[in-house]
Amino acid sequence: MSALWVSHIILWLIVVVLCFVVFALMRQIGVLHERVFPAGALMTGGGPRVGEQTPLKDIIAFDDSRIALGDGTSSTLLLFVSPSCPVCKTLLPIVNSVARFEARSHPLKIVLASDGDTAEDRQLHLQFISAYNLAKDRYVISKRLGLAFVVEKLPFAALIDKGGVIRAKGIVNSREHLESLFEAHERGVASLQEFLTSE
Amino acid sequence: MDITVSYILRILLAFVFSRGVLHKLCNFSQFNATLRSYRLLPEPLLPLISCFLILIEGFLAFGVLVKDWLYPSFIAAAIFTLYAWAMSINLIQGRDDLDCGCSGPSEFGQRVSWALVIRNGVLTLFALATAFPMTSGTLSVLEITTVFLASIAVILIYASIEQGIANQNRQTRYFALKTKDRRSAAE
Repeated sequence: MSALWVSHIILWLIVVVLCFVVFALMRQIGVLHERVFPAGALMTGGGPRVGEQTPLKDIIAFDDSRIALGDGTSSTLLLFVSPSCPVCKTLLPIVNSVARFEARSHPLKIVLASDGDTAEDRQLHLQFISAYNLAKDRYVISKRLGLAFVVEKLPFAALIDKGGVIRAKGIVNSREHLESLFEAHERGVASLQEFLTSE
Repeated sequence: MDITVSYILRILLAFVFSRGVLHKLCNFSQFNATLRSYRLLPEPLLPLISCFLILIEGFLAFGVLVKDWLYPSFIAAAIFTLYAWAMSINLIQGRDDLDCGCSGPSEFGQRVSWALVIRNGVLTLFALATAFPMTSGTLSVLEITTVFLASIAVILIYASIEQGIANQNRQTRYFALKTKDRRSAAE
């Protein structure tokens, strides 16, 4: 067998092995796409359903001004937070960034909601507001609101459209969860999970 | 055309058709539904046309390997062009959510796309290339070895490209990517 023969066959064998490796990698990428499902905001069972009117139309902000949910001019992202919730704090800059982007396509106001109306609690809220540079006219302390939306865990968000209809809601822990609310609204589904199941 | 190249192309085409036939036979009802979703054929004729396509692909899976037989090469080119045309029509109409039904990696659900139209265009060229007369009549041992190993390599490359297209489809369908795009647009 000549040297040319040997080199010819060895080279082809290497090419075949490399092709196997490339194919295996491509399959693996496909498998990863299957497994790494985008996580949506976690829907909770209780409270008003997506598609229903918001249970409260008017809420009073920290500075005693009035906030209308579904006032016909802008959508509202209602985010339930607490000064003692660490995840809520990490979410605040993300909320602003997402809201800035979403506001380009449609008017959107962010309302942060919390509870605890004692003097001590109000002091905590005040510290929270100044530490994170929040707007007092967009910060609500209302136990009633939390009960109306049956908020069991924080941070919890609800997207309410111009007409006061709840378009998406769920527990949000990350930017991806938060964006999934807008995405679910855009796609006309109650949640990302519903969209993926329908796929 | 060089006999080695011609045989490598023929084996690739035989692989494409035999896999297509297997896929269509194993998922016959699904194939019918796919044909229906293309909205190009009259409803009563669908089962008949499905059977005809499976038969013709089965014939081509063996026919393209027969040396100096031109009909399979031209029929294969016509079939690929037909599929590309059907996909193009639907894509132009904006119906890109159809299953392509072209025996891609079924568990990954391959949807019609322009990439698949281009793939069919390339396969049409390959099929036409096999119609050219071969340079020599017989294969030497060295050529047989080359044909064997190169065919495996070409089939794997083809399968990898197809897998890549399927991955791309899946990726674009997930709006996780869309949200990522929105994020990068925002920043």
